Amino acid sequence: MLKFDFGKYKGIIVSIALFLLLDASVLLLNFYISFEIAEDANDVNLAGRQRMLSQRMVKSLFDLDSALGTSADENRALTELQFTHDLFDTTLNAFIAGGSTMNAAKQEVMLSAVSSENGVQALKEAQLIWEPLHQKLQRVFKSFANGVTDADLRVLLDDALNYSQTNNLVLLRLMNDLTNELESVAASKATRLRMIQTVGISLAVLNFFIIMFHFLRQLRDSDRKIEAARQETVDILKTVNEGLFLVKSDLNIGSQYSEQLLTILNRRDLRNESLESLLSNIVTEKDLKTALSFVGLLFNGKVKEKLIGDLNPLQEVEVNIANRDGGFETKYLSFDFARVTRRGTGESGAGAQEVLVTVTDVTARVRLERELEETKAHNEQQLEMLTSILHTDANLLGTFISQSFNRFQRINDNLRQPVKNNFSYRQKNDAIFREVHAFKGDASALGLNRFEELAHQFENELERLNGTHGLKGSDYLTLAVQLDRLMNDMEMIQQLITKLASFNSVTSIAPNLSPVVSGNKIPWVNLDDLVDKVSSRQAKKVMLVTSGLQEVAVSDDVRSVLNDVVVQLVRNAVCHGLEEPKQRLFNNKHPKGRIDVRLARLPNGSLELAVQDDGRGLDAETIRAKALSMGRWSREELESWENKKLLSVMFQPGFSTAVSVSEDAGRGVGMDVVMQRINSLQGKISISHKPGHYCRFVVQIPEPESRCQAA
Amino acid sequence: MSEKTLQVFIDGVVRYFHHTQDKDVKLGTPYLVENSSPAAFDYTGIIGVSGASKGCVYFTAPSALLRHLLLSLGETDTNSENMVDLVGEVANTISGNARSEFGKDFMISVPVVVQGAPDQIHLPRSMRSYVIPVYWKAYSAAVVISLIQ
Repeated sequence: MLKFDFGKYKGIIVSIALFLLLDASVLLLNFYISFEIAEDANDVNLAGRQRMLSQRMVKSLFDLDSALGTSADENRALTELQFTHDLFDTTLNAFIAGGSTMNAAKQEVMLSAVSSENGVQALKEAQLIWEPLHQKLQRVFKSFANGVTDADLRVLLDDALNYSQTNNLVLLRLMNDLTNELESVAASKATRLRMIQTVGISLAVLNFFIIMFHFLRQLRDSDRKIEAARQETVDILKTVNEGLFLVKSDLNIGSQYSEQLLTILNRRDLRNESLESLLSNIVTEKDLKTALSFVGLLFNGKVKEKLIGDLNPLQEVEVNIANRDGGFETKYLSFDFARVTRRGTGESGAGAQEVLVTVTDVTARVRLERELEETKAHNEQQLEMLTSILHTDANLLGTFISQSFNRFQRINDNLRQPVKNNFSYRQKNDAIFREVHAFKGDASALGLNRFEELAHQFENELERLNGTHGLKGSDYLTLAVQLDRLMNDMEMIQQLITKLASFNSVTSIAPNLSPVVSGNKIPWVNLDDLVDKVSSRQAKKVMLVTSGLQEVAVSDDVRSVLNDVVVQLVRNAVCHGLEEPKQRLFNNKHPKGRIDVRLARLPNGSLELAVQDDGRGLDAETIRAKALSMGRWSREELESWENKKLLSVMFQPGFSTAVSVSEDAGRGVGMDVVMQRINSLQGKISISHKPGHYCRFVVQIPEPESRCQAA
Repeated sequence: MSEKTLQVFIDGVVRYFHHTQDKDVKLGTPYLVENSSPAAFDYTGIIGVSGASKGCVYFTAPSALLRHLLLSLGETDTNSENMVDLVGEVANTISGNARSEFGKDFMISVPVVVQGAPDQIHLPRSMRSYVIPVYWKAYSAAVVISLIQ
C-alpha cells in the first residue's frame, strides 16, 4: 500500500488549498453579483420603458380624441391607449410592491420592489400623479365599453387630456429619476464586484508568490542536500578499492556502481546488464548456477542471511577475462553478498529489496599463496635432486648437463626433420634412440636415477613407435612431451648447480662445479660408480682396473666421444660379458669378474682405448639367432657369414642379446652408439675374444691431423 | 602439457582441411621451439587459452599456401585481406573444436590474426612451444601450442 508522508508536504497542501478556496470564493461572488447586475439591467430597461409609456399614453389620448367618431381609427387609438395604460400600471405597481410584468419580448418577468431611498421617493410621487390619471382613464374605458355617446366621451377624454397635459412632464421626470436611480444602483454593484475580484485575485496571486518563494527555497535546499549526498556517493564509488554494485530482485544490476568494478572486470560500462550475463563469461557454468541460486535465497525473507553465508560459491574464484589482444587475463575475485533492507523491513520482515555485491580483486594474494606453494613444491623437488647430485662429482655433472642439452637439441633437430616415408621414420627413431640411450648411459654413470628413468620411458615410447605400422607425425606427440619434460628437469638441475656454484664461490669448496658456466675441460666419467651401480643391479661382482685415463692427454671432443664409448663398453661388459658369481665359480673362475680399461697413445699419435673383460666371450650362435630374429637376413645368409662379419651385426641398431629389456641392457642401441661415436672421429673398433675366457674391444682414434686429412 | 590436449588442437586444423576439396593434409613430427624465437610464417591466427591451461595456440601459414587454398575454395581474389580472413577461419575452427572438446574447463578467446610472429603479449615467456608442422600440397604451415598448466 502506498504510504504518503503528509507532514513533509503539509505547508504546500494548505497553501494550494487556500489558493483554490480564494479562487472559488471570487468565482462564486462574481457569479452572484453578475446575476444581480443582470436583474438590475432589466429593472433599468423597464424603468426606461415607463418613461416611454408615459409619453405613448399621452399621444394615444390625443389620437383617440381626434379619431373620435371614426370607428376604425377610434378603435386602434383606444387599443393603444388601453395597452400603454395597462403596461404602465402593472410595471409601476411591480416597482412599488414587487410582482410580475411583461418585458419587451412580451415575456413575464418578476420584479423586486425598489428599495433604494431615491427610487422609493420617485415611485411614491409618481403614484400620486398616476392614480388620478389612472381613474380618469378607467372611466374612459368603461364609457367606451358601455357605448355612451360621443359627447359624453369627449368630456371624459378632455378631462383626462387636461390632466395628462398638466402632469405629463412631471411623470416623465419621475420615471427618469427612477431609471437613473436604478442605473446608479447597478453601477455601484458592478463597482463592488470589480473590487471583490481585484481583492480576491490579488490575494490568490499573493498566495501563489508565497508558495513559489517558500517552496522554491525548500526545493533548493532539498536539491542541495541531494546533490551533496549524490556527490558523496560518487566520491565513494570513485575512490573505493572494491567493486560495488546493487542487484535488484529481478537480478538486474543497479545503475550505480564503483569505478573499480569496471577496472576489475575490464569493462567499459555495465548498464542494463543482469547478474547472470555479468558472470556468465567469466566463471564456470556450475559456479554461475550456484551463485544465482544463492542470490535468489537472499531475496527470500524466510532464509536467515547468516545461515547461508557459507553457500557463496564466488570466494577466491578464478575468472578469465578476455582482453583486446585475443588473450585472457586471469584474476582471482571474491564476491560478497549482503542484503539491503529499508526502513520498516528488518531481518524478520520480507526478503531483501536489493543485494549489495562487493567484488574484491584478490589476485595478488592468491598468486602469492600459490607461488609460495609452488616454490615449496619446487624446493622439495630441488632438494630431492640435490641429494642425488651431492653425491656426484661436480665436474662430471657439469659435463653431463652440457652434453645432455646438446643431445636434447639433436633429438629436437631430428624431430624437426621432415619425413617422407616409413624408412625415414625408422632412421629418425634410430637417431633419436642413439642420443637418448647415450644420455641414459651418462645418467646411469652419474647415478641420476630420475633421468635414467625418464630416458627409459623415452626409449619405451620409441620402441612403441618402431612397432607401429603406418607412422604419422601426430604419433610423436608423446615423445615431444617427454622431451619437454626432460628439458625442464635438466634446466632445474642447471639452476640448482648455478645456485650451488654461487654458494661455493663464497665458501670456495668447489670452484669448478659447472663447466657449463665455467667452461672447464670435460673430465672422465666415473667408471667406478658406473660399475658399482650396474653390477649391483645385475647381481655381479666386478673389479675395475683402469690405466692411462688420467695420464694420457686427450682433447675435449675426443674425451667426450671416449666417455660415451667407454660407458657403453663397460656396461656391456658387466651386463653381457661377465658371468654371475655362481657361474664363474662353476667355471673355476674367481667370483669377482675383472674389467680392464686402458688408454694409451700409440707411437703414430693415435689413441687406443681397450676394454677387456674376463667373462664368457662372445657366442656366435647366440648372435646368429638374434640376428635371424631381427628379420633382416635369411638363415642361409647368416650361416654363410664368417665370424668377423657376424660380429659386425652387433653394431646394427636394435641388436641385443639380452633376454629382457632393463635400464642397463636390452635395447640394442649401445653398440650402435659406440659405432656412431667412433665414426664421428674416423676411428675404428676391433673385437677379439675367446669363448669362456675373455672379450676385448679395442678402439683406435687417429690423431687430429690425420683426421683432418682423412676428412 | 598432455598429448591429449595437443591432439585436440591438431584435430582442429585437420578438421578444417577436411572441409576443403583437397583433404590430403599431413602432419609432421612435433618438435619444440623456444618462445624467445617463435616459429611463424607470413600470417598467424592466434587464439588465447585460459582456464585449466593458459597461453595461446596459433596457426601460422605462408602466403603461398593461403593463396593456393583460397583458389581451391573458389575465391579468386587472393588479396591480403582474404588471407587474413582465411587464417582467422582456420583459427576459428581450432577454437571451435577445442570448445566442444574441453567444454567450460578451457576458456577460448576469439581469434586474432597478425602478420608474422606473435608478440610477447601472446606467448608465455621463458618457456617452449610445441610446433606441429602441417603439410598441404607442397606447402608447410604449422600449429604452435604454447600452454602452461
